[in-house]
Amino acid sequence: MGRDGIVGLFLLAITLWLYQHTGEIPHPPFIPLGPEFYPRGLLGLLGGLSVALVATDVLSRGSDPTSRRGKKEESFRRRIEPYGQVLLTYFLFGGYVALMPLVGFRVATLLFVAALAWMLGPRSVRHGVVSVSLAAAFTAAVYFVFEVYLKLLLPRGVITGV
Amino acid sequence: MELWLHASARLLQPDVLLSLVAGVVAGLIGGAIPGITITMTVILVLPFTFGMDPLQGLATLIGVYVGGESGGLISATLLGIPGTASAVATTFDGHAMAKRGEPGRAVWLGIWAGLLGGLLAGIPLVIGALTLAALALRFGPWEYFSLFVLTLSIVSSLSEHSLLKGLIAAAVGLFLTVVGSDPIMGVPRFTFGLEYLRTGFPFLPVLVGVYAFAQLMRDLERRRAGQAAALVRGPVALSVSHTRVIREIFSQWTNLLRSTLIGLWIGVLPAVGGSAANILAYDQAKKFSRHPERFGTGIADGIIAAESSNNANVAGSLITMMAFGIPGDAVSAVMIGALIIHGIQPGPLFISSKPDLAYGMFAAYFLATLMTVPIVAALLRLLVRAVSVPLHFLVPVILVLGAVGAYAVNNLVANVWTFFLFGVLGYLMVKLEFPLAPLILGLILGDQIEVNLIRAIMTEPNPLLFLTRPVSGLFLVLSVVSFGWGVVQARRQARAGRLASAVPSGG
Repeated sequence: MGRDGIVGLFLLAITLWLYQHTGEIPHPPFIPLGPEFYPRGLLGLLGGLSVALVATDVLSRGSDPTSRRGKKEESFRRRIEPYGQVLLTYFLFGGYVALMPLVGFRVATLLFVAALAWMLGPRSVRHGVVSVSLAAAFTAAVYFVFEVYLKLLLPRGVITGV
Repeated sequence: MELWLHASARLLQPDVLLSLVAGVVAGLIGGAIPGITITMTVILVLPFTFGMDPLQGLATLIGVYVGGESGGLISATLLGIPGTASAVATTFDGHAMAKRGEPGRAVWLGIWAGLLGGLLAGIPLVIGALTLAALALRFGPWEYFSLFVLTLSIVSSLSEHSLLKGLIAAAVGLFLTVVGSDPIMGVPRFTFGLEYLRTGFPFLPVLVGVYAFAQLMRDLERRRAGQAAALVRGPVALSVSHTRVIREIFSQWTNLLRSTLIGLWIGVLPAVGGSAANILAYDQAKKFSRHPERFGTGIADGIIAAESSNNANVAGSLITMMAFGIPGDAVSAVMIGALIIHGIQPGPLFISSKPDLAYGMFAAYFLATLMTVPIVAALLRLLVRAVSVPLHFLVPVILVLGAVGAYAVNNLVANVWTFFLFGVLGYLMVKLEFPLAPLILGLILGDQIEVNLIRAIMTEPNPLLFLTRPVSGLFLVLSVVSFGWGVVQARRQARAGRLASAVPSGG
């Protein structure tokens, strides 16, 4: 089974799990169509489409046995190479959001922008200095525009108090 | 007329005017930088509009939208890299003309053609939006339900990779709106005990997460070290005789008119977008030309077609957004989010309930279109420099502004987590070749579909009414036709793919 088939099965499993949860939605009395009516219809549709995705994948693979050969021949390392910076960005952003309530928006933003800009760019001292300067200037600009001008209170940190 | 005067007077007040100018400038810069789409620029500007009154905020976003279409052509002509997807066809002749030693002519042909196309499309925008909104007021829940189904079927059937995946994306988008309190009785559904989910997923963090991450991560994947720095070439001669350029455009009035109409029509179609308009108008200009072989060598015809169509596309997209609350493309989807943030319910009642705002939007569209020329004239050198901003600086800045926008919806860090999680989902969907447009449309229309379906069945339990009421029936028949067309297209593509793989490669 190919990638689409696996995605279809995964979707089908989630759909069935959610469908089972529709039984827990309270049905107010004297109402012919309760709040579970629409989600059940929708999940039924999604389930049917997931089955169709699996079936399409299985059938297309049966008629085209060469479809994955090229990909298998490509080395694993070469295939994951472009995703290094993508994963790094997700990882740092996740850390940034987790850090925000602890150290506050300003400190978290300064650290995140400096770290990501430096890690995505060329690894040189000059680029490091530029990244930190950019992070400081950008954090200050965001603070003045959103907090001072637009009166939006950005998250404060429980540790830093700022 | 009174509404026009009132809207224009409000628009000309310094704070609103300044915001509109700032929006056009931001759109031009964002559009000019390859990798920053107009949608992304609107997303970045959006948090700045939260503190504004609705007209000021929407005028800013319309400024970004209009400015962005013109910004895209600057990198398309000078660098050969379209700044936005809606400037792809502009590169064909624009860049060739610039390379030939006429960069100023190439840029200004595009800017003036965009202005004329935009202004011409402004008239149908006003007439079309008002007429369609008036028509939609006569609709009952059956018609609304069927109209939204038609919209979803069009978007799913136009999906790039697979009709089935388009439908799945739409169904997932619809399901996301089910999470939270149900719109009729207020009963919580799928909240799993989380108080945060009682009001459902907040629309903007989801939308921004899906689009911003998907776009940025793809850019990171594609990027090669030092590519951005190498983009800008030596000094470029940008001065030009504007009279000559305008005369050149008017000498091709049929091309201008046809391309404008194509852009307008594509814009009206839900979630299709300016890239399709740009390419289709270019293709048609070539087909109707007496010298099609010269297309791609740097002739004015190609630039005029491409740029008048993508600017007209903005007007078309605003028609469906204002008349029905259905986004014409990703940018208007974000603008619908902006309306919701300002407490305004988009949909057929929008124009009749907020006429001052609707006319203000019309006026903002015209003013932003007119402003593009003097702003480009003043900032062209800066725009040329702007295209060299490297991606490693853009990515963190964009993500932080996206996080601020998500947080600012109701001052919750949980919204930033939503932004992040949907950022993961959006990127995964792109990698698995699921289209994003049906997901977003499902997210926008989900509540309305449910409310109208339940309302229709509760009013009259006969489901056949969806088919027997003429307008509702027509919409459903068109949905089936659209779906059938999608199936035929998918089969054609599959056959073409099989044929291509059967033919041995010549090296």
